[in-house]
Formats: sequence, C-alpha cells, structure tokens
Amino acid sequence: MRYIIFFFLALYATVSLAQKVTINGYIEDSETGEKLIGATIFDANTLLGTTTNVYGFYSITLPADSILLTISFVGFKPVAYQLSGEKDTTINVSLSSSVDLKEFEIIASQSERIEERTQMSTVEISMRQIEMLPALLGEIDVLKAIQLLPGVQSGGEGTSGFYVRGGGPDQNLILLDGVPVYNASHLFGFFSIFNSDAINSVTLVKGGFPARYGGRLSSVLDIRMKEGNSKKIAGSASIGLISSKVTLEGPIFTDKTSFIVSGRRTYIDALAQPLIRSFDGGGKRGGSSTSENKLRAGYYFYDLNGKINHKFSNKHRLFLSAYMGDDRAYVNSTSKYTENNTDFEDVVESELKWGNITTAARWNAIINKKLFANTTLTYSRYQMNIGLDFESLRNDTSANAFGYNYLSGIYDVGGKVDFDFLPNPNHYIKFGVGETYHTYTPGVQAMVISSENNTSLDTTFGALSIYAHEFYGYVEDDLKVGALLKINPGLHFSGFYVNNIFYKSLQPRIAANYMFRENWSLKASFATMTQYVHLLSNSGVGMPTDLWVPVTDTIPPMQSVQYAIGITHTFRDKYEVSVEGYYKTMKNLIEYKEGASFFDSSTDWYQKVEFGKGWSYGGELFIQRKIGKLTGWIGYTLSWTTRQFDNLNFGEPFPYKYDRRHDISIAFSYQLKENIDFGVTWVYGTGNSVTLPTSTYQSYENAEFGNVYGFSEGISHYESRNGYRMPAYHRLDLGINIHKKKTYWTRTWSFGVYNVYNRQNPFMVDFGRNEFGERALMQISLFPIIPSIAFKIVF
Amino acid sequence: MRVFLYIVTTLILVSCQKEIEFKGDDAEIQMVLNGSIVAGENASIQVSMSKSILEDPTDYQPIENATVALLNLTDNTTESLTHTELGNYSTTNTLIEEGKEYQLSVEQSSFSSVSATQTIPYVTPIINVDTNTGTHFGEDYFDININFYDEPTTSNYYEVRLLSGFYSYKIDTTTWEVDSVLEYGSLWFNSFDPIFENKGRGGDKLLISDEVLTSSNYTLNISIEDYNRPVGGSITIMLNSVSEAYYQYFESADMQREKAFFSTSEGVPVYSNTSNGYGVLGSYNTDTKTIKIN
Repeated sequence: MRYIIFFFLALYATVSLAQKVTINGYIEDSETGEKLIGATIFDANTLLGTTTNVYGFYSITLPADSILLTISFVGFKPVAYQLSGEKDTTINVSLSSSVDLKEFEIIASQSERIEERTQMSTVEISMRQIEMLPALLGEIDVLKAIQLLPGVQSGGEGTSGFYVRGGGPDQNLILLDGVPVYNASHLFGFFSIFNSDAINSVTLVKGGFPARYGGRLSSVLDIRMKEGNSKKIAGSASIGLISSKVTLEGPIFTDKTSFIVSGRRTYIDALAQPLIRSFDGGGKRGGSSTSENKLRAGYYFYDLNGKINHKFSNKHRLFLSAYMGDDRAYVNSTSKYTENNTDFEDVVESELKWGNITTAARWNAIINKKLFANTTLTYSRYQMNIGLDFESLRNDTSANAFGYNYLSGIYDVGGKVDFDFLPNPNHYIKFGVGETYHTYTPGVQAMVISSENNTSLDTTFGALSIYAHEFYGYVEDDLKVGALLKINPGLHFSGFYVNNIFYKSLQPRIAANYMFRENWSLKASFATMTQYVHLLSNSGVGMPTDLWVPVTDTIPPMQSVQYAIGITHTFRDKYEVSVEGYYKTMKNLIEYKEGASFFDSSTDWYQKVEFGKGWSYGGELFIQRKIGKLTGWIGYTLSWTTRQFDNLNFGEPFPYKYDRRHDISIAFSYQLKENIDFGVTWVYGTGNSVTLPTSTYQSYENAEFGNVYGFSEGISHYESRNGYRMPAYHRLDLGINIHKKKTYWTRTWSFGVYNVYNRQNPFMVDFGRNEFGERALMQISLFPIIPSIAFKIVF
Repeated sequence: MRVFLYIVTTLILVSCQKEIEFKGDDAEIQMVLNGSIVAGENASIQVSMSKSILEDPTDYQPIENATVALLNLTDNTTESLTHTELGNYSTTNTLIEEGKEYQLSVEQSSFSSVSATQTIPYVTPIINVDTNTGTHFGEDYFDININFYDEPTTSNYYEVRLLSGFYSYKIDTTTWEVDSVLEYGSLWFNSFDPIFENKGRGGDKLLISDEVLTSSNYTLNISIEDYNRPVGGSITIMLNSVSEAYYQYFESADMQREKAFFSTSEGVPVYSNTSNGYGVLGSYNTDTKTIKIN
C-alpha cells in the first residue's frame, strides 16, 4: 500500500510541474498505412525521446522554445521536424521504406537501442527477418524462429512448442492481437498456427516482466496482426509443399477503413488419396460371396485471419480481428459383403479434431494529448474432439452401433482497458484493468450403444464444466532518473474466483537500466508471476490431447519468482550484445501421477495430479545484427532446470525433460543482390533428459507362480526420472529466395534444404532389438535431409 | 509438385531407427527378493539376481546359496529359511501370525545384504455375499456383491480374487461328457463400481485402497461375464487384506506393463521395499467364502 501511495504522489508531482508542449500522433508506413511499433521519437535539443506503443501511438512533452524532432524506425527513412511555439501539436508521420538507402544511412534510422531500453530479457524479431530464414518444408513459422533465441528451448525435432527459462509449455502467454491462444500448434505440434503473411510484429518477453503482463510464469509472446493496407489493394499468394496461402488487404475507404484477410490450407489429404486408396484391400471381389472395401483417411489443417480497422477521426479508431483454425485427422472405412443373400455393411468413422477461435474488438482513443486508451473485448475458444462411430448394417437395417465422443475445451470471454499516460519524457505510465470469464470443459465423454435398433446405452459422463472469473489490474512507470538511470517499477494484482474460492495475488515487478558508459548498460530485474491455469500433459510435446485445467479449491495457482541481471552493449553501431544471468523458482507445478493419463482422469483429474516445485538458472549470450546486408544473431544458453515432486522419483529432485546444459543457435540472412537473399541456421542442443531403465529383475508374479500369467518379461528398474541424456541435437538449414519484379507483381522462388548434413537427430530413444537380434538402445529420428520449394507472388 | 512431395514423403518415411550406445550399462547387479508372508502359513520367498537392461529380461539367475533368516520383531525370535529349489526358500516351523512384524534378511558373499520388513494385516471377514444377473454395456453378467467392514481408523488395502470350481469336458471321448472331477482355476472378472473407473475393467484380481471406499460398511460389486459362470460348480471369493507394500508393488508393476505399450509415456518405477536390493516382500491375510453356482 505504501508503495502505491508513493507511486501516485510521484505521478501527481510530475504532472503538476510539467506544463510544456505536447506533441503526439501516430507513426505509420507510408506505403501500406501499417502502424509502426517501437519507432523512435527523439528531440536533439533536449536529448529526450520516446517510442511508439503497440498501436503506433506516441506522445512527448518538451520545453516549448525549440524542438528538433527526429522520427525513425529500422528500415525506414528518418524524418525531422523543427518546431517552435507554445501550442500542443498532433503530428501523424508516414515513414518511407529505406530500400534505396546506403548502409550508413540505415544505421541512423534504427529504433531505440538495446542499452537505452529499461526492459531486459526481451527480443523483437522482424517478420522480414523471419521470412528470410530457412524453414522446414518451406513453411515459415514464427514459433520456430522464436526457438532460435537464447533462453528458449524447442520441444523436439521439428516441433513448434517452446520452453522458456525452464518453464513448461503452458507457462507461455501467447497473445494474438491481445487474445490468449491456448494451443498454438498444427499437425501434432510440427507447425504453429500463425500465418506469417498476416503478422506484423513478434515480441518475446522472457523475464523482467512489465506489470501489464500477467497470468503466466515464464514468457509472453505478443504477436500483432497486420492492420491491412490503407493506401491500395495489395496481397500475396503462395504455393508450398504442404500448404498454400492467400492474403488480400486494402482500403475500403482510403485512409479511413482497411481490411486484411489471409487463409492457409494444407493439401496433404488430397495428394495422399491415391496412396490411401491402395490400402483398400483389393476393392471389389466377386464369386459366391462378394465384398467391397472403401477406405478414406486424411489429415488437413487450415487457418483464417481477418481484420478490419476503421478510423473515425484522428482520436478514435476501431479494430475487429479474428482468427480461426482447425486440424482434422480422420479415418473412415466401409466394408460391404454378401453372404447367403444377406447384405452386410460395416461402417467405421473416426476423427480427431482440434482448433482455436480468437476474436478481438479494439477501440483506440486519444483521450488527451498525454493519455491514450485502448479498450478490448475478446473471445477465445480452444476445443478438442475425438469421435468414433461404428455401425453394422444388415440389408440396410441397423444391426449394431457404437458411438463414442470425447470433448474438451476452454471458452474465454473478456474485456480490458489499458491506458498509456505520458506526462513528460521522464515518465511513461501504463495502467489498466481486465476481466475474463472462463469456462473449462476438461473432458466430457459420450457413449451410445445400440443393438437391433434398441438403444442399450446412451450416456454422458466425465468432468463437469468449471466456471471461473479472472481479473487483474496493473500500474507501471518507465521512469528516467537523471541521464543514466531508468527504472520500471510496477505492480500487478490479480484474482481468480472458482468453486466459491477466491485466490488473489499481488505481484511486484521492477526493472532497472543503468547506462554506465556510452553504449553500455547494466540491467537488473525482479518479477513475481502467478498463473491460474495448468496444462496436464502426458507426452510433453504439445499434443491436442493435453488438458487445460484451472486452479480449483484443491489445486492452488502456480507462482514464480525470477531475478535477472545483465549487461548490454552496442558496438560499431550495428551489433547489439546482451549477456544475462537469471534465477527462477516455481511452485505448485502439477504433473499427472505415475501412469495416469487424460483418458482415465476425465472424471476426477484433480485427484490424479501431483504437486511439486521447480527451479532454473543459467546464462544467456545474444549477439544480434539488425541492419545491413547481413542480419541475424548468435545465441548461446547455459542452463540448469530441476523439478521436485514429493511423490515422483521417490521425492528426489530430477532434471526437467527440457533441461539442456548448452543451447547454441546461429541464424543469419544475407542480401546478396536486390533480388537474391540467403538464409542459414545452425542449432546445437544438449540431448533431452529421458527416463530409461538401467536394470531388469524377476517379477513377483513369476517368482511366486512361474510364468503362468504370461509376464515373460521382468520388472525394469529406473534409477532416476529423466536420468538419461539422449545424444546431442544439431542441424544446419539453408535457404535462398530469388525475387523478380514483374509488371503487376513480384514473384519469389524459395528453395531450402532442412538438415543439410543429414544428421540423424534423436526424437526418442527406447530399448529394442538391433540387426543381430540383440537387445540394444535404439534411437528414432524423424527428419533426414529434406529439400523444399515454394513459389510466391506479392502484388 | 506432387512428384516432389512424394520424394519428400519418401525421405521422411525412410528408415530412421538406429542403434546407439547405452551409457548406463555399468549398473551394479543387485540381489532381488520376491514373495509374500501369509498369515497362517510358512514364510516362503524367492531370491534371484538382477541383470543389465541390455540383457534379455527373461530367465533370471536364482541365488541358491544365500543365508535367509526370518526375524519376528514382535516376539524377537528368528528362524532360518531352507532352500528348496530355484532360489526358493521357506520356513518349516514358523507359521506367520497376524498383527506381528517380521523382518526377512538375505546374505550372500557376492552381494550386499538385503532385508525387508512387513507387518501382517488383520483379516477382514466377508460379512455377506449375494448374487444376481445383470446387464452392463449391453452384455449379460453374473454379479457378485461382497459386503465387508473396512476399519476406518487405519489405512487398509485389499485384493479380491475369484477361484472357479468347474467341471470340464472329458478329453478322451467323442461325445460331450462332463468330467466328474471338480477343477479349480482363477476366474477373470470386472467391476463396474464407479469408484474404480477403468481400473476394474477385466482382470484376475482387483486391488483396492480404502481411500476410494465411500463407506466403512461397503458392498463391492464385481461381475463375471455370464458365459464364464461355472454352472454346476462353485466360485470361491478371496478377500485378501494386503499390506501397503503388496498394494504399491502390484499397482506400480501393472502400470509399468501397461505403459510399456506406449513409448511416449514416462517409464513407471516399480515399488520396492527391499533395502540394498530390488523386489518386494509383501504380506496378506485371507478370508474366503464359497458359493454354489446352479
């Protein structure tokens, strides 16, 4: 409480003393009208500056006598304004692309430098950079680019799940236009749901969380969709190995209303049909009895992104955005045969389907020159469905039928209001409140059995839906104390009401940046986080069957405390270097009890879990070059991550599955000519921890009764959970993009090679038989060297 | 494009399994103690040795020259166990008594000494058994309802087994003729009692922790598929009051076998109460009731 009073007193003092000239407005791309996030506004006379927020808005209050404003953003020509006078001014700026600038000019146009930012453990990657990197099967994937950053570990070969600083996959808050996404993967985790053609910016926060973020322990991945070209109709279309994409954007009313729609669909199912038909089992047969078999199986995913924004005036804008995507795997078979003049037909239909829907309605309002408000209404839905239907027909009449359905999901409806208040260049205050109404259906099962048209069973069972309210409020200030020190203190308060229990949490946050030498800064941060939702996972690889469950009266929220310290430096004006160390503790983590799984825990999953704690510490090195012909980064992580559960591993601490001692990533792209660019990535990671037995011994049953029960194999003895290291993972990918300008469009051929030196990386290891029939440890790998090709036109 | 995709698919599906070096092959060979001591019977256990996980998990080497002793910790008496065959050892004079604590120790010069301790559970009498026929999931079943009293002040564990007394058909006849000699064998059964969820689905035994029982005076329902009913014979219901070690071992061993089919699941460690070695020493105390089947 003392902290809050102090905070508001400081705020009041600042406001009352600073009556100068305020300049505000939006900064956008002159070609498309897209708002530029993080653009720099700098006054050369006072050496004071600010940056645009995630909506492209800025506000800066300066002494009225003489102002020389430079507005810049990486990849764009900077513009300068000479101002004098005592009136507040609105300046909306359109920046032009700097493709014709020489490198030294581009240097001057970069955004806020790393050593000037208060926030640490944060990385922004431009979509252009992501698109230039090679990708598995040519599918550009935001989450796989994120995996290349230090402090972020990938789940397994080819998968898009990510693990930040020892946290689990559920501890990442993935926001698409501010709406939480629960399952961000397609194709059982191999691709993410984010269509790169519809994305504007990607920011990952790994620690030192500003107070505006909450609800997850380990990271925030803030993905912003494009708003749509407000100047002209534009678009792109691409054909890849597994999917095609189409994007169309443009103005509905020039400079007033614009839209963007983007769709992607795989066609593995269509291309694989001839292969699947060959499994029909011979199709028709003749003779005294006839038979006919049909098999239809396939898998596809699709996603659609759409957004409309309308500018009512310079002060009010409205945005409507939506995402929907589904994955569906299905196997349908029909078997017909005739015996003794009776027609028999067996029909089996099975499917696994999962998908997300997110929608957001956002209203941006400039309340006054120094106060910006964003009000958002959100809806998010994640649903997974497993269905199996079997029907046996005799002379077209139903003889026996069996139907099974499993459904789990989360439905969120929420609203929030966020304010940006910029009283003077020494303060950037953010505050806001939000509320979300959650509905969890952690596993409803339905079963129907009928015989000769009589229903013998028609039942629904499983866990009841759980309803919960989650709300939060926050306040933070990015505060400049003198010329060298910046501090970002903040407070996040959250509450969760479920099953007549009210959990509440006060989470203080602070980050500081001391610029002790030119181009050098020392940063430190402290953050506490609380999370009210858990993910129960058997596989740990982000399968759709993983179950999202809330805290309940018996399951408390997860909590973490993270400390980080680091040094940042920019040298030769091109290279950003950061070295960070962190220590994080987590408590109230949950895992399934030994052997429990989502199917048998459907009715009382909360009784099938164990509670534990975890801790993680390590160091990260990140060297990035954002400008010039050569761009990219080198990342290195040295880390330790441990879990301890009283009832797992006999209570002893054990390494987390994704505890990796060393992780190295090198990702660069090089613009050889105006129409040719190369991309290269190389990754190395210590092998994952797995649980393997070391010995085997006689079972009790065999000892007492002999082998009468058929347990020919003995008991496997495990020394420790996750006590064995798989071999190290490393891989080199290359890609090249060749562009050509045509009259109406630019076409791009993209060629790539995944796993260039054909490394057989471990996906999983288990005991089996080698080529000599001996028992041996066998490794299964997924992706050998894979070439890819894609074609794209942009107009 | 389709041809290119087929090439890529073929590359992905190409053989991707290979042998790699196992770096845990230096695990020490341990002595393994297995068995239960049963109220009213002589103690009998088996001693064998473990082997590396890279060796075939069959044909375990019995240890036949060990010194095995049973110490009654309650009365402070000791009896040596005599080796019979294939690593099996038993007492000849000591009948195990309920409520008493025993320690079994095994010594052999090549291994560290191992020991395990058990307290023999008190018997839980079957109060009543009744039967009826019923339908579950569209199938006909013969239901058996077993009523017993669970002592609420202690943590108790139970095992239910069924013994079928049946007359089989004579083998050496050309006609279907029923043998006059009653034979016995384990009977497979289910329990549709909701407290067990999937656990009660099919098996020759049902393990119960009294944590799941909804009342002290509990009537447990188990069901035999009707065609499995030993018509003209009998069914013997065995309600074993088992020790926690016995319960934990079977629960975890069953789970390990079940999960072994799913290679993406974590390996499940099996419970052991043997210090310096592997295996389990369990104990139980049995009450039985036999019903005639018409």
